[in-house]
Amino acid sequence: MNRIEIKNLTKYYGKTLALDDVSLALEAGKIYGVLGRNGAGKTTLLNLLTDKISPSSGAVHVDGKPVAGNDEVLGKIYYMMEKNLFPPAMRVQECFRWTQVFYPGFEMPYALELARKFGLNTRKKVKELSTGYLSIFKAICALSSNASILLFDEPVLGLDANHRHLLYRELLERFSQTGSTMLISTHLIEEVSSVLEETIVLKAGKVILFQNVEELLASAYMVYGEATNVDRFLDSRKGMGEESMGKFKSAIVLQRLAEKDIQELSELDLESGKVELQKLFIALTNG
Amino acid sequence: MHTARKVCRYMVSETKVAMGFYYLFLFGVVALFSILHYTKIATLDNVGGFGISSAIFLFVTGLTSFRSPFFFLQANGISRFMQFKGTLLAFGGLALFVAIVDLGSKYLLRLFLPYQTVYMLIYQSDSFLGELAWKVGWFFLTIVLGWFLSLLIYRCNKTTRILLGLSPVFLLTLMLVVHNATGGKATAAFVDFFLWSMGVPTQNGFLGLASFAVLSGLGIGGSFLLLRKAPIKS
Amino acid sequence: MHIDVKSEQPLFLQVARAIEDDILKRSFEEEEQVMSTTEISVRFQINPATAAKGVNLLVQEGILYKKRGVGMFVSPGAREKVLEKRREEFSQGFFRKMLQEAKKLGISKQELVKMIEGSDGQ
Repeated sequence: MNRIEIKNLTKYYGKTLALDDVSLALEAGKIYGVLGRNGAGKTTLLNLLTDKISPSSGAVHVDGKPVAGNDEVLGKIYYMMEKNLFPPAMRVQECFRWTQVFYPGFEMPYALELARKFGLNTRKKVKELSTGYLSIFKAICALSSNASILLFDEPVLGLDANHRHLLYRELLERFSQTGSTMLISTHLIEEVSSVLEETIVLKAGKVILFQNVEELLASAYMVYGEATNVDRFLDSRKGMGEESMGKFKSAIVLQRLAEKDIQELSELDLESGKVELQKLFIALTNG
Repeated sequence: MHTARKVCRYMVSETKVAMGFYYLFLFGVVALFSILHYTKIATLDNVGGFGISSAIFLFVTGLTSFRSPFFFLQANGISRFMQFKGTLLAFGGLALFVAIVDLGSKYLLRLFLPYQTVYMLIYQSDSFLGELAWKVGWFFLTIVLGWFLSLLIYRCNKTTRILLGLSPVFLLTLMLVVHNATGGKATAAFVDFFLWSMGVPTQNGFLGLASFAVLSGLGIGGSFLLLRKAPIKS
Repeated sequence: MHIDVKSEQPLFLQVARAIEDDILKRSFEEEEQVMSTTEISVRFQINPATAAKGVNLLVQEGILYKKRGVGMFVSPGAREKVLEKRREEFSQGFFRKMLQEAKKLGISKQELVKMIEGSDGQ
């Protein structure tokens, strides 16, 4: 059923701990966000999921079968890497044909249609592509591969706003058609947050959050108002991501907004509002 | 596993262009020699050893058969072990192909040139099967060696690479020292052993083939060890 | 149909409300098919599960019904249901807030009534 089981995954690069005892169970057919600051371990995690590197300890299984050295399982996963590993002199069209060899379910008409939509010239050589078009090219390979699990590492790197919008559209469209599990790792959190169903947040190699995005956003709120009043409000509550602007202050509270909270807010003449995923992320991963 | 065949297909297709150029070049050389011979511009007693150029070509092919394919195959979700299997399959096929073409051309060339192959020179034999087997072994060895060398270079960091580059110098100096110390006896012994392993004194081509097989085995083993934990480097 | 990712409301609620608005405006009549979850998802760039949650909410409330293999349709009497729901929301939400705001600004009930009476043209 393409369920991904990550058990006690740890990775050391020499003395540096890149991933610290990560355990996750990812159900099939969902869109997951893998979020984290630079160096938090996102790419390391994706590399471990696809046997690009070996873990120091722990293992990754798909449907109970290990990923390590297992081409049958690896064939179910397409990994769009941030690094460009394609031969510089190969033309896009040729790359598509070889992807089809290694991923027999690859849909060429669909790939060509996407290339047309994005304005990607398939006769161009890989070395002639700009950063943005390199991302587009790799993303098209991933979407057209028809693999049951798609991993995207920084898919919108170098893309202008129009192309980013188009890519998310095509991604959702494809997801609706195929129901493939998708993992998206990116820094552009705010744009991708509405696309995600679940989010995994990494901090210094550890998973600090693994939750449904909607639930997460519903279980937190922002509080604004005069600094002293905000502090009073936060007295009996855990506040984070506090920001001061002169006499005023804002903070995030990781709790569902209850009636008594609303009452106290109005007593203290404070406003409350929805938290954006990006602000929540920054607050969670700072320090 | 059919994935190994896909890898093999990719490896072979990557060498097609280089091979095309090589044979074109060779064709030109042969044409030149033929013209010289027939127009009596130059008298050639013996022409031979295109097998050596093929060996060099295959060595270079081996040298370029790791890095770029490794990256591309990783991007396509192929495990290192499958790359290993598929590459060896391709090498076997290439060695066989080049050996057949080489052997075939020998008979063709002998029609209008006094052509002799290395095999004939060493073993004084004109056996078809013997020469074919020997050539395949020899070509396979050269391509594996090239591959092994490229893996070695890839896996080594800067300092080790410098040491590696200087190793021929070290080796030669060592050889000279030993030669002088033993008054030439060690070198003689070494040369004798080398010739024996090649089956020269016994005119036994199959002994040479066996030696090739042993060395290939070592090269393959070494390559496997280097490949299985190879990281993706910029 | 309009969805704002930055708005206060959870996305799935926005989806539900947007469809309700369309029903109120008569963009969709009874027994007419509405946008599928896929279409909503792609068009507004939101996760299909979220879109589905909004649609299912309306199915639960009897405003939409599902025709297997075809899609989502507007239930008979849906418009009335939506109107009633919104009226209830108006009196509990909007209206209450207006009273609170008026109180805050010191506007008396009589002044309010005058304002309402004088707003005929709107």
